[in-house]
Amino acid sequence: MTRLRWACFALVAVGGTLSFVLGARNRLLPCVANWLDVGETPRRADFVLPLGGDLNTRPFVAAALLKCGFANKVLVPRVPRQPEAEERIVAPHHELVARILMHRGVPIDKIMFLGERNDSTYDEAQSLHEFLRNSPASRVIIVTSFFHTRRARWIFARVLGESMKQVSFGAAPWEGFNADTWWWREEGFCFIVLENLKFGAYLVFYGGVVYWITAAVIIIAMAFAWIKRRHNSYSVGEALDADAA
Amino acid sequence: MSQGVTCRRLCRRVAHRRWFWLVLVAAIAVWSSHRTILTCIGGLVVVDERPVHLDLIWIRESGSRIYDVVASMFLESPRRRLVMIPHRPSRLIRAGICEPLESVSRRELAIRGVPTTRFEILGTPVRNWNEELRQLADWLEGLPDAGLVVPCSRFGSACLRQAINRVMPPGVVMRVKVVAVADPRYDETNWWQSRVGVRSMLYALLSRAYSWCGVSVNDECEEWDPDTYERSLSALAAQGLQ
Repeated sequence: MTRLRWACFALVAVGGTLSFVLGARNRLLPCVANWLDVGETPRRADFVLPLGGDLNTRPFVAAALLKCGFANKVLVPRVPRQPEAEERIVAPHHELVARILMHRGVPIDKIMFLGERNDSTYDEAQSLHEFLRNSPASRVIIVTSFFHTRRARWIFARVLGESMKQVSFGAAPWEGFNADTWWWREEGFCFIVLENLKFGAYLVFYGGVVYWITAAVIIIAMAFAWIKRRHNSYSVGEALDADAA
Repeated sequence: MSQGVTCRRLCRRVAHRRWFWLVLVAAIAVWSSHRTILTCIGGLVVVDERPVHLDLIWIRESGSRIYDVVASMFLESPRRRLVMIPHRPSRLIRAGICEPLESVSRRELAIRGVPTTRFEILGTPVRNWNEELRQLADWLEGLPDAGLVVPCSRFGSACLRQAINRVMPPGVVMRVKVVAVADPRYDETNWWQSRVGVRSMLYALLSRAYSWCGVSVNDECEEWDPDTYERSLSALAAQGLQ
């Protein structure tokens, strides 16, 4: 009877939670995307660095920051060369970023290329770390998509260490969805869910969270075993009392 | 009664041990067959259909491998026609930063021996996937016997098939076949071994799940204006909020 009661309780709890989430989705779901956005109000810097991965908004935001006087130069991360057949179809990412910047009125002498093989956010952080060693007093605004800012900040903090205080983050919009309606579109759903999964994976595999999780599992298992043992000893006690009676 | 208590304890221990061995055996079985399991998961996002009857080749993506496949299909039988549906030019295309799909496709296929005269541009520029499929379906209804094949990226093939089945009428759906073009970096048998493979797989799985849920999609998307953004930044700079 107890098991049935627990099963009913669990069913009601899960059903109630789902109903609540569905009913309040317009208020709850934007939080899932807004949580990822840690972009800051722009402040004066020496360089602006648009991270690779999006050509529709990040280079435009970087160009705007430079033209409005928030930065003096733009750092463009270089990507590895692709096979010639692919490069004939689409030019390398850093060349397209440079073209966009010049199209938006950024003089060519304000564009500097960063690193050699930037395949990921981590590589870009390493390249910036190397750059800041040679320019220790420089301040940098890092521009990336709004939902990428949290993970990017985490990665850059781990790589840059002390130099992190020279860096601020600017959030670029993503053309196709925003934080308030991301679940209306397939692209928004995929990107926001994926970004949350990626950040969780980074915390577990690179952030030492796996140790906390292991400790929590061990503590919960020990607590469960202790409760069960106490429950068993009560049952034995009741049975012995009944026997004596 | 004390014997009853001891018996209950023993039964509980036996049950716990049984569960322990069951979990251990299951974990070993999963670990030893993880390759098969992951390949099956990869198969969920791949649809590769070999057309029996092929008159039309629909080009909707670029990529050197896709152009290789299109060219080989065309050169098998030069009577086949190549069709494309134009999209509204994006900001990068309007600015001349990137080339439109049509000019890239013509150039690449010409390099591979496909004459550009066999190219047909259908209909008016569309804004999104659904409009593209509807326009193609309307056009195909005027060609009741024609079979059409669409080469596409491997992990996007199942989603495309789902969208075709959802948007196009039944009489047209049967005549459209999806060909999944291999990516040299990863496929459904080794996607978990590279970062880009894992990312593509996760994206494809989420995409499939979203399409499967049949969530109503708001196709209209307001274009972001970089000039407006720049003006707001100028106002911010002018206020001295730096």
